[in-house]
Amino acid sequence: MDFLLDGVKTLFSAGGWKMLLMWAIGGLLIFLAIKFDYEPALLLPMGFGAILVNLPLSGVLGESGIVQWLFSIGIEASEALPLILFIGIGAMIDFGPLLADPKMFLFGAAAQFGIFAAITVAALFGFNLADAASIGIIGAADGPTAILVSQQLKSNYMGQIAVAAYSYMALVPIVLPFAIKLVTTKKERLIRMDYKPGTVSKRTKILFPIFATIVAGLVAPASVSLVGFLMFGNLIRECGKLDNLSKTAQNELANLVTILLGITISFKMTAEQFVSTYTIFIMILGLIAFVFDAIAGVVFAKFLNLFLKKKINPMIGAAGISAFPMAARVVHKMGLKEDNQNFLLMHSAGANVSGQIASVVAGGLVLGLVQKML
Amino acid sequence: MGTFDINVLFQTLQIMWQGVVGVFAVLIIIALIVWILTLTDKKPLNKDNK
Repeated sequence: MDFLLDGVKTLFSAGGWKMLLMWAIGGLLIFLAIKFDYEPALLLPMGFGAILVNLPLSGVLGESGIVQWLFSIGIEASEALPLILFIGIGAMIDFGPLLADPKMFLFGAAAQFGIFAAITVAALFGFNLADAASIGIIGAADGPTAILVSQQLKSNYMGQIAVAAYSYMALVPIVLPFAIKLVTTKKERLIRMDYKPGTVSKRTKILFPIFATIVAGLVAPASVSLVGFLMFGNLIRECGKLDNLSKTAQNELANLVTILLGITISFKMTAEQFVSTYTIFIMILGLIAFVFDAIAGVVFAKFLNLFLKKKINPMIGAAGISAFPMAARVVHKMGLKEDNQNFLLMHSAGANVSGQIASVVAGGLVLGLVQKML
Repeated sequence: MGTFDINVLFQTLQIMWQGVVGVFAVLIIIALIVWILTLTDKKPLNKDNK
């Protein structure tokens, strides 16, 4: 009858308390997902997966374990799961507001500064280059990018990075206003922006994903998979001939991959890998990345205002964070709170989708630069 | 994570400036291409003309 107690004995062995702690963390992620609607599509599977992989002698691990198999096929081999998810994300995005106002591209670029700031701070904390770069990518505010970069760089902290990335994406409604108010005055937040809808032709919407992929691929070859799959999804959406495929990509494909991705990432949430003081440092660094993203976007907008007659509301800069569409909505709501006649949504949406492109380009650049240095 | 290594710090600063320049370069080039494309877009004659 002893065999019935093997699992329980492991739990009460040295280090067993870490498994119990991971059950609590998994439970917390599930609670946050359900109670507060914090990125439930990812945090709930990750939370449940954290419990699965931390049950003693868990059958989901090992050579024939399903979670380990999903990880080796879906992420380790070629990052298939995050990249296929990007097809769905690309199909969901309407780049129209951005294409109608191309200067919004600049805000997406500016709002990636937090990635690089966090990489540098991580180095100050003593992380090696690969881990520092992987941690900094939390600032991309994009789960698939964070997973892909940390996997390619063979970071030891992929589980923590994924949890941090998705948690802070869910906390954008709290983090963004805090960061914006640090570097803006009420007068600046009251700047009104009129929206004059520009027309963007179907031709432009079709050519854009093709050109974007080519340009990004030439400058940052390591970003081709990320940018390429994002733009492939968008091309399916915009070509006008593949409505069924577009709908499938946005719905069934995205949902299917999301179900698998969350539980697959939990492979990196075993107690041995997750329970350490480094996890706390990574959470702090992730927060630094997000805050600096927003601050950089806002400061860039203020810098541009030095040269512009028609001022930009600097909050738009913070919408360049890739957390789509939450960042755009948060900035829009902040604008309305200051002045209920100031409708910033189309401007902030343009900056927000630009951030989506900029974050994957930044991820590719970081990957390429770090791999050259290692 | 280990002890602080000044060489790693220098490498991250290099990544920072090259990364920031690279992101801006890519986005500016794409923005310019989009701007040129929209310049050559035919303006709609009426609201039904797509």
